[in-house]
Amino acid sequence: MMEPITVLVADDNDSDRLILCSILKKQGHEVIQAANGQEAVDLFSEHRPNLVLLDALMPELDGFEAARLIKALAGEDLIPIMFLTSLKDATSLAKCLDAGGDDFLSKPYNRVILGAKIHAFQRMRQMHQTLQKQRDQIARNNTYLLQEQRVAKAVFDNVAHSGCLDAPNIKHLLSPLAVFNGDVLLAAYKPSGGMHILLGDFTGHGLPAAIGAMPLAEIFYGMTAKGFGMTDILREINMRLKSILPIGVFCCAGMVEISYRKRTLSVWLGGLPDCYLIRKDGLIDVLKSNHLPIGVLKSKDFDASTIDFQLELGDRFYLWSDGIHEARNEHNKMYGEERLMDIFVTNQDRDLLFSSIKNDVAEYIRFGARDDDITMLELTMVASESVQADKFTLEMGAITGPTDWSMTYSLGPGTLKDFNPLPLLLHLLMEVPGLRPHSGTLYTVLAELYSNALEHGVIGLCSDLKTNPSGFREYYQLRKAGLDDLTEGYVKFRFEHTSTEEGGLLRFFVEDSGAGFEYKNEEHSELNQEFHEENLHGRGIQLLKTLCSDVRFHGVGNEVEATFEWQREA
Amino acid sequence: MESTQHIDEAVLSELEEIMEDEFGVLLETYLTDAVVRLDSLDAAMDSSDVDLLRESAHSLKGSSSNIGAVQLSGLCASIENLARENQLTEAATVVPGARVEYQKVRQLLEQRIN
Repeated sequence: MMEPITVLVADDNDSDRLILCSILKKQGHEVIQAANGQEAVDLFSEHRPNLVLLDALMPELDGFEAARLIKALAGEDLIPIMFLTSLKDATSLAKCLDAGGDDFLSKPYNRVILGAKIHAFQRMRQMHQTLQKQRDQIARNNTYLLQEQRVAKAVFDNVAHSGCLDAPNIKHLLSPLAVFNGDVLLAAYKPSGGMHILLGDFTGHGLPAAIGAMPLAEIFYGMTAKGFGMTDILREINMRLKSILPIGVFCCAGMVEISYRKRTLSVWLGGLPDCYLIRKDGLIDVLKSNHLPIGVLKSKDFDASTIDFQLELGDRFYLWSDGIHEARNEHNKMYGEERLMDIFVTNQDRDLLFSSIKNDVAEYIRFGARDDDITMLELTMVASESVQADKFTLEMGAITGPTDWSMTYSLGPGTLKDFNPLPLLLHLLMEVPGLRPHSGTLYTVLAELYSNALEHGVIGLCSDLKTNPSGFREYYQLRKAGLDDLTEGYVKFRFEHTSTEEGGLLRFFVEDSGAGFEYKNEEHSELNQEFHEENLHGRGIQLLKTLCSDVRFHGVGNEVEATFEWQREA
Repeated sequence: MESTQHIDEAVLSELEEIMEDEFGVLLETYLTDAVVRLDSLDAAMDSSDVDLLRESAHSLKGSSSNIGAVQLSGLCASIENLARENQLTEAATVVPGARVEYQKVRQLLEQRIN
């Protein structure tokens, strides 16, 4: 019935001690005997018994002092001490309790009572041990969990590094362990010099919330570097998250594509709170999420369409998760949208807007319980010169690879409708190691050649439209309509690459099915030609001329030849 | 009643059951220890040491109750109380009685051993 334990009995009265020891032995316990307090303390250290029975009045060291020393030696182990006494007055009993006594046993000894008391102590001891074990287990688990989070965070940081969040026109707020609250903030330069930014807020907390951030970041950075556009990236991320995340886990997100050269901003919002675009003149555009979060819809139902804006220098865009809106004060009231809008309306100095929001939210939740991370970002439209991508750190192997080659690639109407050939073409060019450091330039050249061929050639749009914001919108509407109705036409790329002493020569020929334009008549008058080209092709041709050593037209003006020379790096 | 019952036979029987072979040793140990405490009582009276008187009476009270010597235990309890109240004169009338009672207990226990 009862698990045998070791009991220390300390009593200077030999006959009483004999009786007690006999009772205990009869009940199956191991007994250690001490005739005074000092002996009791010494034997306790030596044998670590489970229970101590102490006479209060003993020579050498009395029971009270012995109890104190034994409790100190026991540390965090539960060693009950029972005083053997027939003392009846309250003062003496209180003295026993003060010294660490847990119970009393009075004379004459009653073996039934003693048995019951020991039984009760054993149950207490077992509970205490279970509690200690569980406490230690919890502590171990917690250490383990923190360790796992550190490792997970290190891996995550490698995949989802902060990209170009340190760019001069970006301000952001993201706690170091935000990923475990499901928040992700990514920014990357596009090969063309623009930027992609993505703010994501996964449902849930902890590792489950962080796990989806890995493929998201990988796709975001990988595809951006390869020259893919925002809609392609969003589709890919949605497809991947939809396939790996369990039902009910998804990612509220906002993605932005900004072009500093064209001063355009495209925004996709899915499941995030309203985001604001504040113009230099103080006008505020409120952008509502018009899509479901990422990872909810199947690919065929996913809508990657964006809202596009023509910006001016100094215009700022604000993107945030619901952390701000749902930040709670000590009365459990949420910060809410109105307070946020107030800051925008009353703001006098745009440069202080970001820190005003940050400080106001921090002040609001000062005494409240912190439950969600606050993640936000401010993006300012600046001149393209002031946002310089670091030279891409591309792994340069030995300079081998293709040197003299050519290829043609023709796209028919069905393909032109919704396929972006640029990543594929850029990928092909990157097979030439010497071209890798020029990926940004080459992407820009390809993009200009392609959009000129497609928009002005195949669809026949006039670039004049793009000179004002409403025209800009109309231009893109016409472009979309033109593509939707496309039944014939083509764009034909021909690349020729040869190696030279210093490096190589890459010639682009891009031909389209359009009517071309009259360039020959004014060939001898450079001023007129530039005027003409400006009219027909917008800023694009000027840009091409700065990037390429030679740009010329062929046929009826429906074929462009651009030459890019590159030097081997020393 | 009190004068006739020196030993509670029920207590003693239970002890015999618990102690088995050591029952005799226990009784001898008690008798030897009790003499030491009785001598302490006398010494305490001689030197008017109330603390020693109280502690010795307390100890003999406890061991006597354990052995079933109810009357001796009762006398020791009286001495302990008088010592606590500093009433040495009254205690002096009780202490000799304790030794007399002890002799009776001893007689009974020795009979039991043999």
